[in-house]
Amino acid sequence: MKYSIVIFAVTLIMFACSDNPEPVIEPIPESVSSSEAVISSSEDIQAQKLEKKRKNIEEMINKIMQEDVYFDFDKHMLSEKARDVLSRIADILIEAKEFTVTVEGHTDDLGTEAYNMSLGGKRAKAVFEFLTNYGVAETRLKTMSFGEEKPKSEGSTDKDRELNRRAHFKVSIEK
Amino acid sequence: MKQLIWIVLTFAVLLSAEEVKELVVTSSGIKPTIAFLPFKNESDLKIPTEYLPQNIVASDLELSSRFKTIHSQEIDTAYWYVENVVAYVTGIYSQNSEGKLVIECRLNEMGTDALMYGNLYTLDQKKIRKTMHHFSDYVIKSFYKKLGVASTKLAYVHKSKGKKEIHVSDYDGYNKKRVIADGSIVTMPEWDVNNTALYYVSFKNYHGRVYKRNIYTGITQAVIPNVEQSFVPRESADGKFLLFTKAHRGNSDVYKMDLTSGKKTQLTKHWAIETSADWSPDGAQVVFSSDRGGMPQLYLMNSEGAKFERLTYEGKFNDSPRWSPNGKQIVFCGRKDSGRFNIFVMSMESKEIRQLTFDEGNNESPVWSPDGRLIAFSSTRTGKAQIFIMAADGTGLKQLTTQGSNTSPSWSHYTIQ
Repeated sequence: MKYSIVIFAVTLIMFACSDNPEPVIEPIPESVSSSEAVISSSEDIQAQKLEKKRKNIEEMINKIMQEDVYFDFDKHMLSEKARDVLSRIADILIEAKEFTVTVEGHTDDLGTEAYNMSLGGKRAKAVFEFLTNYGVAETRLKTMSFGEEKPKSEGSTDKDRELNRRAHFKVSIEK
Repeated sequence: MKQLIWIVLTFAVLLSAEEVKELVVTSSGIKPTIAFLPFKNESDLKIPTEYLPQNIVASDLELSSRFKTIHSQEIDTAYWYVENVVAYVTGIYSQNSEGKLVIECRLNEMGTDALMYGNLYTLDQKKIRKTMHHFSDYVIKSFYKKLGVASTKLAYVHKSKGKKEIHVSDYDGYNKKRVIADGSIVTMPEWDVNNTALYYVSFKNYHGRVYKRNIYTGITQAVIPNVEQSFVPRESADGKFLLFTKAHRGNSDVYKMDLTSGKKTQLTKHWAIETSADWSPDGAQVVFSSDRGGMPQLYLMNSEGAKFERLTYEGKFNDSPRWSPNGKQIVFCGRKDSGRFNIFVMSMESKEIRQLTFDEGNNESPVWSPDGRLIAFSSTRTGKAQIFIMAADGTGLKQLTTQGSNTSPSWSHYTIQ
């Protein structure tokens, strides 16, 4: 019995020392929409005009993109139709020199998260290479992957997944 | 035979833990059975069933995959003899003058009633699960020399209403808390060596990059700021280096960063996708996945980015490798002809591969418990992806999450010593 009391005392001290604080519970912040982040608060009309043009071009490009530039499962190669679509986009970009473009690569939810993050990058890279070969200045282009994080279609049918294997364009005003 | 086991078990306490394991678990093929008596309530408290001390400890011992448990109302020598009981857990709880809960816990040897381990805890009532996990870990230690993992925690990605957050829970899924939510997409949590911070990937500044956040103070830092994108953070066991995947112009390669100096070293240089790197426990080697052969497979290199060796040849898609804490195995997920992801374990000595899940939905992102006895992973077997744990041999499955979808678990290091 004496022995057990000693153990009690010793382990009690040990436990008291090992007590960790509880983690801070994180409140959910308000989300920041990307359009807010891009629009400057400047009253300058020129800036507003430029922003309007940027938006128009982004919309135009992504509308063209909707026709295709989807990718086969687990592939990053561009189809003939994708090349055709991208060449039309490249023509627009070559003219609109005041803008820079980020090519965003996206994947479906098949495959692992880490691999999809990289696969999205490869898709963006394929588009990047096509555009630079076509004549868009390399300095105006960036690549970026969202992997499987931003599906265009939330479902998990083959059709949904097909829609999610895509490249998307983000147009920014050159600084 | 029973008599022989009985003799072995009776003297087991006098042997070293390794010998106990040898005799009880390996030789006989029987897990030691622990009996649980209801803790005597000397307070006015009414504790819900799942918070009763004996139930928490019994659940821990079952989950550890090393014991069988039975519940009895009182010492029942005849029945316990038949059930091969080697020890029993008993205790008393009361409330002190400050309203704190006082729990006396005992692990007694069967037959002699000798105390194998005991502890007297004084605690806030809400810490009852944490306290009993502590007792469980020492019960396991008194048999196997090393602490159990009942006091460890899991971090994982929780998605609901289209938003991703990082949550932390106890290893058994209780005590869930949201610890990271920055309004953007956050994913790929990974514990730091002190269990106080999580590395993770956030898209809050548009680019997906690795951040580190202390979950107790909320202090957050960008770990690898000046790169196009960075993901899959993995800290070395000594806390000195970080492995990560860096994307440049859309091409992914594995890098290592010295966390003190910030110096980055490129370990793979290939046009293929090279990612999902993880350290060997001694930090000398790195396992990673690459599709340089046409499809993602596992490869080895040393931590300087040399001596490449291909590890897997089977299956169409192997990824997410994790080195076991003792360095002897690598767990990963892979897809074969069924098209579904399953969990596999490779022996690093024989290179033999054992399959642990069998097409029950997609099974991904396996991680080891710090004692290497359990594996946490995500599975779609019940619908949306949820976090499960199982023993390293694939038995003893337990579902930990049910709300929303939950993925990418990371298992903390030991939280007590």
